Amino acid sequence: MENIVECRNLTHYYGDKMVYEDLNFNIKKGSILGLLGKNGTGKTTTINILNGYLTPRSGECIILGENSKNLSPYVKSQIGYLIENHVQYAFMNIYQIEKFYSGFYPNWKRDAYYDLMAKLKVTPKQKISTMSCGQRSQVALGLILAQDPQLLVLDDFTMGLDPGYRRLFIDYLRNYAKAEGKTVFTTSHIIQDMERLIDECIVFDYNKVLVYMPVQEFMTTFKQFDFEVTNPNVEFDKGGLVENYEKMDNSIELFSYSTEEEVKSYLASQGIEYSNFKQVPMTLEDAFIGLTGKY
Amino acid sequence: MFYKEWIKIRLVFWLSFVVGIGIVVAMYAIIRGELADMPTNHYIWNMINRNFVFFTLFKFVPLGIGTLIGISQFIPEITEKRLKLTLHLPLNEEKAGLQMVTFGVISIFIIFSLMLFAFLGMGRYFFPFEVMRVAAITVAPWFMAGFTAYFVTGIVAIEPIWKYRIAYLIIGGLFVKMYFVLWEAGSYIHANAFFAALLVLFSVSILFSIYRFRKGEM
Repeated sequence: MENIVECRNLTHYYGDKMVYEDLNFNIKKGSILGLLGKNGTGKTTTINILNGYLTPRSGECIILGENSKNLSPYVKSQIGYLIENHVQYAFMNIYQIEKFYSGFYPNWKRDAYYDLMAKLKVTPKQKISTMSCGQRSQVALGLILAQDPQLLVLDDFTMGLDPGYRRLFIDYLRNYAKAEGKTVFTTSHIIQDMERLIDECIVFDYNKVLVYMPVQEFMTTFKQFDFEVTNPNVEFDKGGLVENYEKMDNSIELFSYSTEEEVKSYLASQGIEYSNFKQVPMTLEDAFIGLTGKY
Repeated sequence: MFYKEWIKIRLVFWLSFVVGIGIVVAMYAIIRGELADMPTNHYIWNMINRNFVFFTLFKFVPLGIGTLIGISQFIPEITEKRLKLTLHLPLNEEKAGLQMVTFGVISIFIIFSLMLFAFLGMGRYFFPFEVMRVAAITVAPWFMAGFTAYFVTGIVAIEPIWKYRIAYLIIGGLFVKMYFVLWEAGSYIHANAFFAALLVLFSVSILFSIYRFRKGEM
């Protein structure tokens, strides 16, 4: 399948602080890739590099065949970009902003924008700066839908939205992307929203990529096992079978890609006495926290 | 692009226009009152022999207008880093930056032209051509100071690093000060062409700030 985005050996530092080294990922045409990570792990940095707002120390991102450092006007017209906090030209009203953008895009879909605006309880002359965060998110989304780009890049689109607007945004976006064959690259702090939206995920931790695989595969292979240990001072070595674990008194939550039998064998081989062993079903958010830790 | 720029500056534009023209009109209203108490010849004698400049009232007005237009145009762009939206438009980034600056320059040019037209036109009602010719030479650097203030505002606003912003402010401040060092009428008669050339160079310097913003300098 054709790749819309190819990032190769991406390395970036802020001063001496490494963000990541040799990051590689592709975004297939028609897929929805979610970039998950805690604050400061490099999500927005990646989005900025992708859009050409940041020059990486080394490596490159190829978007629709062009290096992101020098995107042509045509390729930029094929990228719909939603900035964190749904930033738009807040000094305009919904009529003015549509009029402004429509002049730049030959295939502008005015109706797509106004169909969404009709759902908002705003007056045509109301400035965007006076709208709620949820309403602003719909304006930003409406503009992207009207632009009709091949690739949508959404930076933390759920920030500041109440549950209703989050659900509206996600459902509208997913239906649109799947119906029109659009490619989406997105970040969000709210992992439960991503579960409804994305096909593939990349999980960033500080300086490294923990996971890069389809969400379904991740959710099938990554597991949580809960049990109680006799010795509360027991510790596990991370990196082998154990991806991560959380301990509270005698209760252990152990996260692993291994099967229940393999984990039990491991515990036995380490001489760890345990009871009440069970595999616990996880949401994507549980899996994310299990993988990256609570701190 | 001009549509967006107009929405940002239109209030400041009309305010600047009203204030600019208003000050010229107010200045001549004052002169009219003074001429009622003093013969015109005596008034002109004061200008020639005592270096009396009758139009100092609007000396810093173009500077203020240039700064205000710059603020109204560039501050909304850097608020919440909205410049990203502008640079993401399907245009060459330099072209987008130059279009913004071109619009600001045209707006300021319109206001300044009308101010100058009012200043010289009304002045001719009171004074002979020679007096107004020297007056035009004298006010030219003040108007150029207005354009410079506009460019400096843009460069400083868009520059992402504070220490560079301060450096640009100092350089820009010194540049602006140059227009106001001499106070006598016609002092800058030989310097205006040089000032104008420097101003043209200054006008494209905003591209450097845009380039640094795009590179993600922090």
